[in-house]
Amino acid sequence: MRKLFISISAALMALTIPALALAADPAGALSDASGNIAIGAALAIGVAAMGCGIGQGLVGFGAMQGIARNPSAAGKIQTPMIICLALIESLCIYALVIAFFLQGKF
Amino acid sequence: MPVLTAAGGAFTWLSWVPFLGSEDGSKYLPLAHSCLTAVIVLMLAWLARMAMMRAPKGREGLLPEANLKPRNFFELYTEAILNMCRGILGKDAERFFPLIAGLFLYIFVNNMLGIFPGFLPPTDQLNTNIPMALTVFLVYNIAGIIRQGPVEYAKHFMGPVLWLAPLMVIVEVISHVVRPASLSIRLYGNIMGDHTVLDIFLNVLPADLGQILGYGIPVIFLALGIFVSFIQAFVFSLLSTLYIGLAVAHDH
Repeated sequence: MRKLFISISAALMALTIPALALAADPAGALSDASGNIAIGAALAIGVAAMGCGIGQGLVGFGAMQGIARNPSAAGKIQTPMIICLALIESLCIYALVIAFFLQGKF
Repeated sequence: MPVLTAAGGAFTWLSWVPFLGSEDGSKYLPLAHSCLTAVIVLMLAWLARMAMMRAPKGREGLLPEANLKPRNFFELYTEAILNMCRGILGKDAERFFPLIAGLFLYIFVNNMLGIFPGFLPPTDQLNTNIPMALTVFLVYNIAGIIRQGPVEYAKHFMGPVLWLAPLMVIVEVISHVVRPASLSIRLYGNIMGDHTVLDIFLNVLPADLGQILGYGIPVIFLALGIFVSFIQAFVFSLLSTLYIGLAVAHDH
């Protein structure tokens, strides 16, 4: 319970302190929302990479199990595995495109 | 000697062409690289035609030749894509094969242009990718409508059960609209990301952290670039084949 409270308050502080820091700096060329846009861009690719890593790890796990059971089917397992990896990676790429788009905005 | 630059400040061989090197013309550089790809694909097609005409006629022409000659190379490529089409489309494979094989070769040469020093890959602009994805979208819809008739094709948007139809129509329409978008953005993101990674490891990191980093490490990223180029071309053509197969199927 105490750990939950500490982690929630840490997250809230991490989200509000950049806004305070920017409010104290009147002479920058950055707009008001720059800090939030920066965190948004970094979080987009970070969370997407995490999800994509887990997904592709599961694909690899299934492929390795299949090859371990039947080593002579390795060629036939490898081609669909590469296709699955490319499709899952495309989700991460969409998030990367959003991150680049946001990074151009502040 | 002034270095003629592309829009992003990079040097390209095509900047030596007088109009494209100037400030106004440099925004046409991706289009010029697309034209370069078209020239390369036409030369490959001419080479394939010469190889095919040199083959012996009749039954002897069925035997493959001994080493890696042009004829073997093009037969390998054609057979690989035809097998992929046959696995998904069945009997219609030869009807849609020109589109799929053409897309694969065009996208592969486009992506590979980014690996060679001094060229931009045209597929790292959305301008190149969206027309290809829209072509596939039009082809699969029109093929589905011609093959099954408009009423039958629209019925397949309504899902399996009648009382789910309102929800299923919305879900199906959204998923169909997302298909060309996802095809083009996947290709765009992969190639732009790859080109940017190569740029960082060749230009930015050696400039910031010391020139010694520029020797040897970018080889890994060039290899990754070749791999990603091939895989993305393959995934684009495989997904196109899949969409055509889904639209044309349903036991005609």
